[in-house]
Amino acid sequence: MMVMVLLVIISGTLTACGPASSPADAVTGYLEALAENDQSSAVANSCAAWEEQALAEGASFINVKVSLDDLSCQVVDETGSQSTVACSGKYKFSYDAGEDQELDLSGRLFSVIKENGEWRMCGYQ
Amino acid sequence: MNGGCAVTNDSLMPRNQKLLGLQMSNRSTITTFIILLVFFSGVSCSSRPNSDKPALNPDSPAGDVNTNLTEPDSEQASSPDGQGQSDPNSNAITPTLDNRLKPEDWRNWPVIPTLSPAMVKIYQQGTALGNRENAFSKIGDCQIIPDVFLGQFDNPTFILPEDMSDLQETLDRFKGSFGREGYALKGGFVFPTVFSPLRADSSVCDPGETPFECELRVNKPSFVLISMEFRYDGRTAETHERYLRQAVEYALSRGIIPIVATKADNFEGDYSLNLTTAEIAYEYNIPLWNYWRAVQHLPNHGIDWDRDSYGFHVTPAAWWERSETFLRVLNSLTKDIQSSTAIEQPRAATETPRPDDEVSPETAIITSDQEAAAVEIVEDWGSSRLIFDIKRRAFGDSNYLGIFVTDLVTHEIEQISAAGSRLLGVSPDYRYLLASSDKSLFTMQLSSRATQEISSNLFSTSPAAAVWDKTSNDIYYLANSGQGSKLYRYQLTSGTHEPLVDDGPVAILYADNGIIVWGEGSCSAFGDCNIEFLHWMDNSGSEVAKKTIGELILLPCQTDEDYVYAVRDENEGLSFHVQSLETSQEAVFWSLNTEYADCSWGPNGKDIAVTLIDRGWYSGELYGYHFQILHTDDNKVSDMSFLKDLTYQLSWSPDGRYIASTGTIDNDQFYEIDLSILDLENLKATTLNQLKDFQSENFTAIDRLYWLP
Repeated sequence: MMVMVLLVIISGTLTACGPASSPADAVTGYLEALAENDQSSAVANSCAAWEEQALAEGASFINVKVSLDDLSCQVVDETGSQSTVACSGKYKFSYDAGEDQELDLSGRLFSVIKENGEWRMCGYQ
Repeated sequence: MNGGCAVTNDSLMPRNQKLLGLQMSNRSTITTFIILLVFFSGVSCSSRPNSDKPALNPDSPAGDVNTNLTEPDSEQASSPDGQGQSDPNSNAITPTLDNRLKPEDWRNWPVIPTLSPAMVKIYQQGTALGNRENAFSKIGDCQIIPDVFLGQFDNPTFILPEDMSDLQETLDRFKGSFGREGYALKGGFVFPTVFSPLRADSSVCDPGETPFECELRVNKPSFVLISMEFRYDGRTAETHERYLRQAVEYALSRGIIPIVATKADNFEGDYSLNLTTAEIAYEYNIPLWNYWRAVQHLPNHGIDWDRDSYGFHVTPAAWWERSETFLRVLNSLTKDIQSSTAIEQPRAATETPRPDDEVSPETAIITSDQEAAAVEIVEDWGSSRLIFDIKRRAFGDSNYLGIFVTDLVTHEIEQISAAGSRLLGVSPDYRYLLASSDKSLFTMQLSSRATQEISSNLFSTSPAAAVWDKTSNDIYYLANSGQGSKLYRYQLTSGTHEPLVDDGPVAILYADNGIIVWGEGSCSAFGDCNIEFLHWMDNSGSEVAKKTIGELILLPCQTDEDYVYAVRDENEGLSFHVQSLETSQEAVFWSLNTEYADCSWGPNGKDIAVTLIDRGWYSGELYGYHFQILHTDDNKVSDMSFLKDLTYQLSWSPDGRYIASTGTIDNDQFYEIDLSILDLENLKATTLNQLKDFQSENFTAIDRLYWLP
């Protein structure tokens, strides 16, 4: 029930966050939202099936200082309401204890679908 | 903001100075500097903090505490296996006297746990599937990175203190695991991190794989320590419970024993995280390392209040206590396994026969012609057994809880294969089951539980990846191949894998009388498969018939002679069709309901049991279930919905007198499996209440169901 309430609240914020105008925008919005610890925006850029995962993924960023450098996303495949997006760029995680970590986004393929007329990030490989 | 850990020279002080060489090669410059500080601080070889352990600690929240590491309290000792055996994952789910200490009493749980018989079997099954007996993994945060936890044990020059010499064998056994960080252990990691595919090391981990899954796949451990202590905003007992349960279930599904741990701190203020951990340990009967208890004899109960104001960091003495007691945990668990008389010696897993490899005759373990003669004659299948697997949906994933057998007379339920196992079929002589675990396809002899891997490359995305041919006794299966899959025949007598279809198969629906029925189509990366064509193929690989599915609704009850499908017309009318492949004549049954859920042919080859459901066309809400028998010889329908108000999946008994029916009850607060036997002669239904043990807030259902003598 709590999740339901949360999702309702989040869905109410979708308009405020703004729909993605292209598949690449949806992925960019999602990745940037994670870096900014903005879980609402991460969910707003996610398809319905990915919303719960978006919340969990957002939670994984809250302990660390994050920067997202040189992010660039392009559509590599698009058929109707489905699209595949590839990105380049790096997350840099900085942790209190001094152990910095980097996460290279290249090589991952993001699945994007059109849901209710708007592009939403819906998982990745 | 958050209570992070920071490694300091203090935290390293108890460690053996001889780890220096190892650590310098692996750690950052900063860490090297810290180690140099330690080196020059003059910590001597094998030295460690004062290990005097007062028997009682008056400051303990629990009052008097028995700090004996290995001897359980008297109440605990009264349990024959230390932790009892009445959890839903134990092998025998029968009412037993449960003498285990309750989770609420976690402070008195022993520091060093023992292994329940159920976990011994998990271990056995896991190692038979390739898990390494000498490896363990660590899933966690800065509190268990090798710098502060166990790392020194992997230093070649490390010498165990004299009073720990009994641990030498265990130290040797797990060499290489102590100093290994792995792919799901880093400072700053929290549970959401290890379950986020985005955070996986893409240079090692598969696409879409989480760090947790990646670590277990790559390392193939037999044990995994799951210890998340990091304090962060929003961490609650509820979220801890959810993630810990997910981690435990995933480990068990891989035949890996999860070891959970209490933490020394109490930043949450009410010890609710330790209580939750104990509740999970109790529920799954998995080992709990009671680290909290291990440090109660130390000053400030091991908490270093000089380091932070919220009591997160532990003292150098508590770091050492941590490494020492965990080594004792490993020692205890491996001794339990070695001494367990309950272990059946597993059949050694043979070299994995890959589809494209040469023939491996050693892989043929079943000689059905010899054993079929010994099949028991069953007078009344209503007094026989059922075998089934259970699937639970959580966080968008389906997890298999294992394979179970229930006796229809005693109603006892026994788990015969570990969590993660998925039932795919039963041999024609009922002596073996065909199952999968992730990409591993294997058979299991029901009497000995010996397993034999058929393939380690199963196309597990498919909802129907393998079938045991009732006539030829061959196994047909799908194996991953490039971006798709291939259909193979595995001949048990010779152990050969023969490719039959190269491109496009996504499901095998039937194999009998020399005919294989398989579906051609595509599967998404997210596991949804769409069958576009259905093929009937003889066992030489030649096509006999092909049907285009299009707008038709494909049904699971195909045969070598009939094409079975449903149609929903433009007026939402629903009809069930059985089309003869030879004559194209059809038996058609109309229904006022909204969809067919399942179908099962009776042994007479003429009657089909079907379940139908009424569903709101807009909301998708389920309104009701119906159970009918369709008689294809005279086109009559026997509506038998009065027998049972919930029927979803069906399996007809070999004598035709009974139908096993299963479905899932949604009680608003939890889901519960219903398994019932419908007696077609006496027109009555018997429900097996023991499945209440599998109640869950997550959707839980029986996936496959077969009859056994």
